[in-house]
Amino acid sequence: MSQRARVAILLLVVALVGAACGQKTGVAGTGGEVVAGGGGGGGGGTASGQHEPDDNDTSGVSDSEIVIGVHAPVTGASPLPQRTFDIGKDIYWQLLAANEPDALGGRRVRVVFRDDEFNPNRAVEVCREMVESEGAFILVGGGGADQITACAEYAAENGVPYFSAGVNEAGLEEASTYFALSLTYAQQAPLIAQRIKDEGFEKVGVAVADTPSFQDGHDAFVDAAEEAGLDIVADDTINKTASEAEALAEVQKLKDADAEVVFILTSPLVYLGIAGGARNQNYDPVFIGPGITSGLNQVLTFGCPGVAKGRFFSPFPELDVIDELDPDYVAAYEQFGQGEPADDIGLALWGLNKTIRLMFEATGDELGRAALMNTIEGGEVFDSGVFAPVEFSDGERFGGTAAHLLKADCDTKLYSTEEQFVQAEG
Amino acid sequence: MDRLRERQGQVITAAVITLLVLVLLATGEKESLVIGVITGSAYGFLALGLVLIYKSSGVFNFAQGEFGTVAVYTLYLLHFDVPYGFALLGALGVAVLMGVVVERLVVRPLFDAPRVTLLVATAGVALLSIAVQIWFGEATARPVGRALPTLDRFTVLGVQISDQRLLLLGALAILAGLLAWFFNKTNLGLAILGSSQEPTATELMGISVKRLSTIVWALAALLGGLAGVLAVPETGGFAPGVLTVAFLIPAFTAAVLGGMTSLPGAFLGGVIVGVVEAVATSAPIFEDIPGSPGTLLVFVVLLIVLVARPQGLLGKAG
Repeated sequence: MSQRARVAILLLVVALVGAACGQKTGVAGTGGEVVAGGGGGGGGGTASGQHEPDDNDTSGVSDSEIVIGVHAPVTGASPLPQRTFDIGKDIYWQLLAANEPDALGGRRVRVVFRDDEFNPNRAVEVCREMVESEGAFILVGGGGADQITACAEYAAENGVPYFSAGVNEAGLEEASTYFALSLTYAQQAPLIAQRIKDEGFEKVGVAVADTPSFQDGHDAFVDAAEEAGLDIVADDTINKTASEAEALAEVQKLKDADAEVVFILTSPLVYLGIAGGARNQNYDPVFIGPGITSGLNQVLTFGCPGVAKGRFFSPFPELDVIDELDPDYVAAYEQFGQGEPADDIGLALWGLNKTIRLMFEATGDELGRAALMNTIEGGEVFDSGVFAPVEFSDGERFGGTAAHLLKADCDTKLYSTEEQFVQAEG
Repeated sequence: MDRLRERQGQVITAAVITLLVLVLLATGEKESLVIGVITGSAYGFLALGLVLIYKSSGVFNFAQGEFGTVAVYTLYLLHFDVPYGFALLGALGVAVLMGVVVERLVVRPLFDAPRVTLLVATAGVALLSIAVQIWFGEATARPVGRALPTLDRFTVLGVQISDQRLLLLGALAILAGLLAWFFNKTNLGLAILGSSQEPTATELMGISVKRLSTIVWALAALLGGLAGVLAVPETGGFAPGVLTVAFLIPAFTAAVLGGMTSLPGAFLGGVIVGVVEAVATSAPIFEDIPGSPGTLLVFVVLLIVLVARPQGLLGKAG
């Protein structure tokens, strides 16, 4: 083989490896792109979180309108119902426009929704589309840690504020425009360990999906469990899209280890596979974990009776207490819900939107991206009464302070709120 | 000597299986053996339909999973109004109807086209089917009940086996045997094989190749439908495209592993894929492999088998 051919092959291999590495992060091709109209040029702010007033990009904000882009998986490996998202995404804003037309300087909020297909690459595509084509002022991630992480990185590179319920911390702590509006998985870990201990369990199994996004949640739980004196009898990662054989093999390991309670951090479908497999093997542990999607009623509709002992810490409460916390929610659904009953996916979006409204209002009439982020990072507490209060100090990306504990009820196939606003340590 | 060469595949297969069983028992992974057999049987069922189509027409049918998904969807819808048994029959009927429609509208117009064109066309059918399911029913997961509710009929090496699993395994073993007999011993089976190798000669013998094609696709769709209605209830439920998304790639692997022309090979391949996935998940030596050690190990096994025996474990060379 000639020298030139060898060099060519070497270059090809390097190029392929480079492409593969870029692909793994899920944000290949997004680096360095600048959104027209500002906010780019090195991202949305400094590492410390101070966003330059000169870059107060007002894309997506006009005298009459604010555009919000929301993405979530409604197809793919872990789908959420699209109609529920379509209806729930702007119920709060519709109510606001009807009851308080002068709020937000008289602007109406228009919500654009895109399906990210449970795929980080697709999430970046739809986020870019919502910003560049639909003119979204901010972006909101509705669920799926990997997609949220990928899209938050894109948002940070382009100076776009990005909001989601708390998921992982790794990969997001450096995203200068990201704001977690509830406790992250790692922040919830001590709450979960303490709850397990309080209920008298000792032998704990750990089953976490094999994705970098869940590593810090896993590590934080293992540390918290050891600190609480719990005995971790099995500690496994499981394929993110585990097959039936893989789920059943995992169940057998947990059963053999005699785990009384299982800390579960996976997609809902893998959770359902493990819980269903456990039931088929007459193995009946309590499943507990941080949950945005695993704590949705849809999981019970599908997974009962296997998931009957599921308990999840969640950013939002369940429908059993919402009238007490926010009587407007059910009423708003009756008014704007197109005949659909109020549900917990709508409630999650309601809580997110309500918190964001408080942030918009605190920013005032000069609403722009830098002004909004500087306001949020100014130390003010935003309390929606649905999500727990959030507070972001300078440079802090994770503002959650508490979570709700949800408990499965397979008789009604609805989660109930076992405890509200369970405080995080510190 | 010639006889031994003829039976080389069976000898190698028996040796591989014996070795696998001994290793699993010796390393304490005996549960993986049972888990692999009961979960791999679903792959085997789907693989059976793939082999049937390939054997008779040389087409890789990417729509095979959708025959199963559509059957499960129909079972789910019908079970609201009619008893389970009737819903099951209705589901299989719809799967067969889908197979016939696909054959008439997609396969037959492309009868003389290159096989790769048909491959792409079947992939298109699968994507269209999934899109229609999402369009009408959203991409929502739905529960579907078992035909037989008893969960703990037997416990084998520490793993409980339900009646539904037994039904699946039994149906698969019987159908694989019956189909092997059908292709080797009956005139219709031989005619189907003949039509795939010499379509013109088959027509000259007075046999309608197009009619045979319809029969094969209807049979394959029935197998796909059975895979769906027997395997999916054991997992609790389904979402659009469930068999294509979760079962089709392992089923293709099973079919290639067993030999694309061997019906018993499809059954065997399914079981091997299931066992390897289970072992990769539970054996401590694979714990540090990131991502999906099950998928990785399945393809390593496939590679080894194909290097040693390109026609698959029970397939015929050429």
